[in-house]
Amino acid sequence: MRIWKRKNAEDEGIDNLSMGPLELDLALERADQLEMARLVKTLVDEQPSLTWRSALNERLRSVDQTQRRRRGTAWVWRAGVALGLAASVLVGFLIWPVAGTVQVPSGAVESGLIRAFREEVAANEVAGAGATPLELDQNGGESLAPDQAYEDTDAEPT
Amino acid sequence: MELRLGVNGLSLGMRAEPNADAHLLERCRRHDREAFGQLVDAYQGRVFGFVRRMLPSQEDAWDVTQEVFIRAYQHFDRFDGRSSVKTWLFRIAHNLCVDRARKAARSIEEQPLPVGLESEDRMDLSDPRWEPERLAMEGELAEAVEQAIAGMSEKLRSVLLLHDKEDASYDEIAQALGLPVGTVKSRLFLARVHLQKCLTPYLKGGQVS
Repeated sequence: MRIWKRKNAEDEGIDNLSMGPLELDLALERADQLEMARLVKTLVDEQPSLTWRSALNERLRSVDQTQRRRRGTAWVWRAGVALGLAASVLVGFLIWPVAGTVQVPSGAVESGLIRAFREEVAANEVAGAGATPLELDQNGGESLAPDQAYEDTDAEPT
Repeated sequence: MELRLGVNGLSLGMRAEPNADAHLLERCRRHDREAFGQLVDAYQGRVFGFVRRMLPSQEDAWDVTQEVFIRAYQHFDRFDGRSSVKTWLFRIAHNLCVDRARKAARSIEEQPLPVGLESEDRMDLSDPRWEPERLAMEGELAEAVEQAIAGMSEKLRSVLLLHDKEDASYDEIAQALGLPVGTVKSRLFLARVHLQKCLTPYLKGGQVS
């Protein structure tokens, strides 16, 4: 019990050394301090036995195998997850309900815009790029009703 | 200062040759067991020496030393080269020793001391392994030093061993133990003072030249 107390007291004293940095540097270079350093330096290290080394090699091999197995499993797992995600996205695109058409009240500005757009698309499909009947109308050309605009002009008049 | 250690002219010390080591370290990062084996050859004795002096049990020391190299092998990709391999290995070793000591401390139930041991003169012994009479009879100064080191607190011991035994600089010790350099110096000073106190009989007896 008291041994523990003594250890704690020693630990508390460690960082409370009343010396300035310069003083401490000088103290560490004192002959008695260097003598202690020399004594510690002369201690001999025991070399591990071949049995110990062999056991370490076995453990390293085992660690290596475990890591490789984990890497392999992780690769398969990641590939599986990626495939699953790709399949989900594909299915989502195919099955996901397309947003319904919006009903626009007749006579509104929107319905006029839609009608103009449809007419332009129809004109493009028949005559290709160029002035539309509406544009001709705006430029002072011969006014044609939208349903007459695409009639064959070479036909004999009835 | 350059440390040349182990086999095949491997130099992995504090100021080692960069090119040869860089290649070896790169192989270790790729989990090349042969390259890692060279690293183990170079450091096993020193790491074991450190761990052996940090732990009371030799069996634990062998086990922890293996654990140090296994951790290093597993996490070599985390070694960023900012410190030397040696500093890195000793940091792992120190952390594992502290963990092991904590586990041991938790598992030990405090036993009440016999009444006869309550006198102050007996309590001056900081470690039961410190037996001056036996040591004097054997005349083994090295053993006395070992026992004096064993009697220190872990904080003093680790700094003393890293600096005086492993030639680590103050900065490297500070990096390895996560301490300010000033604390490293003060701990080193106190550790040497402790050692000197323990070795007083030998110093007075003229056994230390």
